[in-house]
Amino acid sequence: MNWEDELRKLSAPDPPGELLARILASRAAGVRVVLPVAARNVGSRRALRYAAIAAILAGVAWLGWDVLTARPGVESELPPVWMIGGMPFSPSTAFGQDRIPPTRSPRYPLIARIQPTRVRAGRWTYEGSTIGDGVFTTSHGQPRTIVIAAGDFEGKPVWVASSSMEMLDTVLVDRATLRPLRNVRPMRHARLVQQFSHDSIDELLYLGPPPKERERTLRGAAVLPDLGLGPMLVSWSPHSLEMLVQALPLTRGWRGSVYSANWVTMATRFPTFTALDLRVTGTERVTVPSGTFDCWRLEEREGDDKSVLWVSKDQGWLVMTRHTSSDGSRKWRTEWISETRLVAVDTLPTPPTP
Amino acid sequence: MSAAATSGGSEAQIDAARTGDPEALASLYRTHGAVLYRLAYRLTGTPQDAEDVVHDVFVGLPEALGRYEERGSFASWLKRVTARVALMRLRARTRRREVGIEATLPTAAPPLDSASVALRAAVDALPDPLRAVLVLKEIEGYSHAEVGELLGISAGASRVRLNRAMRRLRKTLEDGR
Repeated sequence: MNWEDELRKLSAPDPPGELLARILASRAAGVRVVLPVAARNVGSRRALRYAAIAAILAGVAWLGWDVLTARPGVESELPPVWMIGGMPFSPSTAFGQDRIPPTRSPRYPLIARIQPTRVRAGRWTYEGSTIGDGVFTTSHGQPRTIVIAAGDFEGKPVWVASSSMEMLDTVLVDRATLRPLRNVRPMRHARLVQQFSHDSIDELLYLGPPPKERERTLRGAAVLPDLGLGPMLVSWSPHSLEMLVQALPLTRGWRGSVYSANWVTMATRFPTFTALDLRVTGTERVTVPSGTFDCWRLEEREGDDKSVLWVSKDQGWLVMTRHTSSDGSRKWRTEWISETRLVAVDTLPTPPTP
Repeated sequence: MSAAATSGGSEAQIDAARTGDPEALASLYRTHGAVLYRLAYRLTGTPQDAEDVVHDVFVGLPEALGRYEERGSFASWLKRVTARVALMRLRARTRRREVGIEATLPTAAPPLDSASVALRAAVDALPDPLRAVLVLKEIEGYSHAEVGELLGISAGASRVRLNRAMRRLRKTLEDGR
């Protein structure tokens, strides 16, 4: 028998006897793992698709168009809410957030060309305010500082980006591709750790107050969408966008989409990946507390959500953002405008891009 | 009888496991656990990682079964999920190569002759991307297209990696003689 045959018969040990007990104990304790189930094989589902189309057509005829369009059509596909330690865990109640509509396809071609050498290390400080129906303004409180510093992670040059000086909420981004490598987000009674590879996310969400023994853990993993050569953002991490806009080759008429990664463990409520569509809609001279800047006016869309970003033409800094939201039902005719304005910039020495 | 029922997981068992029934989960573990553990062990190279992979697979199985459509073999589906979890673990960890092969061998492993020890050491010494292709293609019997899908590479890249892995193995074994 040659070694190639021997390789196929190479022995491997049996699992330890207590592994099953450990599995059952974890389930009983409320630990849940979101497994990376492979995407469906589209080719082998053709017959099923035809059957589904026939069923939909029959359904349209039976229900009538108005009835069908009034149904959300998503809720029934959602797995049940997780139970953790006997408590229902639903992000919409846990975090007071509205459910985001399911992922939509990118509106524009995915961003494939960036200029990563344009990204600079530094501190960007923003003030914020909210205007409701043009009547009153509430300051967002303390100005928010975004810090971008050069670092090294597992032998790879990275940007260490944080939205505070304490470096608690931190994203590590590959300097060459501007894709996230690690995202750590501490919260009051939870802590999120996301680890990214070239094609997947591995996530741990620790829930519960200290001490650690009382924590519950959710684990999740997801396969990334096809990103091509493009970058990716981390949702709810403004510093992620701060870096990307510095590297975008903006010109008149420029447009491109980029995927943003949400929490995998929240996949029952939020889509794991959403497409952000960006489009240059013009130029504008903008005055903010830190000065006057000639800017690209960049429209950002995420589903039905729209924002406008003003990006300085020379450095690529995010000078001002404006997010307009209104009551979806139009019942109250309320319009809220959230604005952030650049207050101060302090650039740091930036090592050359490797 | 469905494909699932013929492949080690009766429909009733799968349905019960889907609801999180511990007995059904234990039953599926008894049927598939050892095979999945060996697959995870071969991919990750350490019993600790293999244990964690199988633990995660079975802890997450009830929810994942919500996305299992009972088309094709249940055992194959379970193996693919396990391979994905193992590969993700492989990417996430920083491997510690300074640990000798003896230290990674569990006491429960069957006795090995010196040739088998040398072969296992040579397989373990391969870089992760090469070992993953070698294990999936040569030991687990996946096609290059399937290996490519699992690893996020093309079938051609899978062939190239297997070729490199085999050359390295051959060289290591020849040098060790």
